Amino acid sequence: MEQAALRWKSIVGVMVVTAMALLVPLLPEYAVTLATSIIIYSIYVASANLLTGYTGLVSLGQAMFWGSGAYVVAILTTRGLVTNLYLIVLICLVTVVVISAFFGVLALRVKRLYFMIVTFAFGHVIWCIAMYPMQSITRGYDGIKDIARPDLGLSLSLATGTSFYYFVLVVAALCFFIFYLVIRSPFGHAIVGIRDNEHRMIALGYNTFLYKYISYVLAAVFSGIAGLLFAYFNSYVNPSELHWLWSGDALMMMFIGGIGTFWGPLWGALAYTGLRYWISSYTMYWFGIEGIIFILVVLFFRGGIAGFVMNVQKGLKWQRR
Amino acid sequence: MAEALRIEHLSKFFGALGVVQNLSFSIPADQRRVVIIGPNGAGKTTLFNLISGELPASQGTIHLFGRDVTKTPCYRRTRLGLARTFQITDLFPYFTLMENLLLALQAHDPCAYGMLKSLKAYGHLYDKAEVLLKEMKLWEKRDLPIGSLSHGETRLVEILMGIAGGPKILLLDEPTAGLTRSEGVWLANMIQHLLKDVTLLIIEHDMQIAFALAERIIVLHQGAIVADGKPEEIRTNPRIKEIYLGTVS
Repeated sequence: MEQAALRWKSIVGVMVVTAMALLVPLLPEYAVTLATSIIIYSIYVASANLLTGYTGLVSLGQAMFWGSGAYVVAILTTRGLVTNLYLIVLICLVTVVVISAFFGVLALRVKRLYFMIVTFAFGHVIWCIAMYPMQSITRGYDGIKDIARPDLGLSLSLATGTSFYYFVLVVAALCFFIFYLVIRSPFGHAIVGIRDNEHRMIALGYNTFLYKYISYVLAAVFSGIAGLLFAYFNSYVNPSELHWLWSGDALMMMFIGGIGTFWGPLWGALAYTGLRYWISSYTMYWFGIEGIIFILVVLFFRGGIAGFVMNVQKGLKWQRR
Repeated sequence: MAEALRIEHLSKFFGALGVVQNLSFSIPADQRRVVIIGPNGAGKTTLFNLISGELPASQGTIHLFGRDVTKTPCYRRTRLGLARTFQITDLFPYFTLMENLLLALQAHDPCAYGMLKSLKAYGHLYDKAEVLLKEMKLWEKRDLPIGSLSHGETRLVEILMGIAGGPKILLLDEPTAGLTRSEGVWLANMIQHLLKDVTLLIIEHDMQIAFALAERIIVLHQGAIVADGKPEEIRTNPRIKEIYLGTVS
C-alpha cells in the first residue's frame, strides 16, 4: 500500500515545485525569505524523517550534521580559504560523511532509547567543542557572521532573495527526488521492515546494522546540505545550530508534519515556521503555544498534517463511491 | 555422506540454568524431515535460536555444511542456506502480504541494497512471489494487510517467508501452532509437497502430525537428548511415555 501511494508522489512533486517556482517570487520580500527558510528546514526534517520515520531510529543528534555543514561554509568563506561553491559543497559532504561514519559505528551498537541518548551525547560533545576548545576558529558563542552568498559560476549570482530562493528550491527538489528514489527502492523497503520488526529482518538474512548505518550516513548528508544552505541564507552561524534543541525541533516538525510520510517534512516545516512567525507577532510566549500545538498533534493527529490530508483524500474517495 | 548440520557438545546457560546441555547430533544432507519433540521447557526453541544464531552458544560448536558457524552472525548463516520460521507469528503488520513476501525474497537478491530503481522494477521477485502465493492459494489476498488475514493464513505466510529465500535447511518452529487438527494435517502435507529438496528440522507438539511427518524423531527433555531414531523406535520407547505421562513412584 505504501508502494502504491508512492506512484502519485512524482506527479504531485513536479506540481508542487512548479507552483512554488512560479508563485512565491510574486510575493513580498519577507515572504520569499520565509519560504526559503521553510524549504531549507524541510530538507533537514526530511533527513530526520528518513532516520526516524522510515528506519525507526530516534536520533537527537541531527543538529550535529546541520551545524557541521553550516560551520564548514562559515569558516571556509569568511576566512577566504575556499571561494568556489562546488568545492565547498564537496568539502561539506566529505566532512559530514566522515563525522557520521565515525559516530554511526558507535551509536548503532545500541538500540532504541540508548541510541537516542548516545546521539544526544555526541551532539552535545560536538557543540561543546565548537563553543570552547575551537573558539579561535568558530568564535564560540558569538558565532560567525557576514557569510557572503555564493556564486554559481557563469556569472550567476545568488545575492538577491529571489535568485537564492530559486537555488534553494532546485537543491531541495533534488534532495526530495533522491529521497523519493530511496524510499521506493528495495533499500527503502528494507529499512521500513527494520523499523517494524528488526528481529525478523535479521532472521530473514538482512545485515540490519549495515542498513541502519547507510541510512544514518545518508540522513547526515541531507542534514549537512540543509545546514550548508542555511549558512548562506542566514549569513550568520552560531553554536545553537549544533545544539540538541535544534535536533529536537527536527523531531517536532516531523511529528507535526507526519512521521514516516513523504510530504510530512514539508508540511511540518511550513506549519512550524509559519506558526512561529505568526504567533511571535502577537506574544513573546510563542514557544509555549508551540508546545501546546505539539501536544495536541501527538494526542489527536498521530499522522500529523500529512496523515490528516491522507485521511481527507480517503474520505473523498469513499464519498465518490 | 555429507552433513547438513552437525552439533557437538552444544550448551546454553541462562545464568546457572542450563536450557540446552551438552547436545550432540548431526543431520545428513539427504535426510529430509527430522522432528524434534519434547515437553514444555525441553529447550526446543532455544536449540533453534542457537542453530539460527539469534542466541550465542555458551559451549560447543555448530557446523553448517561442514563450516563452523558457531560464531557466525545470524544473517550470514542464512546466506549458507539456513532459514527459520517462528512459533509465534512474527511478520510485518503494516505491510501487505505481497510486501511481506518481497522482503523475504529480496533479502538474498543482488538488489537488496539497491537505492535508485523502484522495487517494482525487479519483476523476477514478483514472479517468484506469484508462484509461492499461488501454490499456497493466497494469491487473491496479496494486497491485503497482514493484519486482516486469518490465523491459519498467517501461519502459511510464516512458512512462505521461510521458504522464500530458497533454503537448504529450514527450521520450522511449531508450524501448526494454533491450527485445528485438520488444518494442521493439510499444512503438514503442504510442507511435504513444497519442500521435497529441503532438509526440515521441525518442532512439533501434535504427536499425530509429528509421527506422520517424520523420518527421524529426536526427543528432548530438560535440555538433553533422551531418544533419537525412526518414528517406530520412538513410539515403542518406554522412556518417552515416562517423560510425557510421568511415572508412578
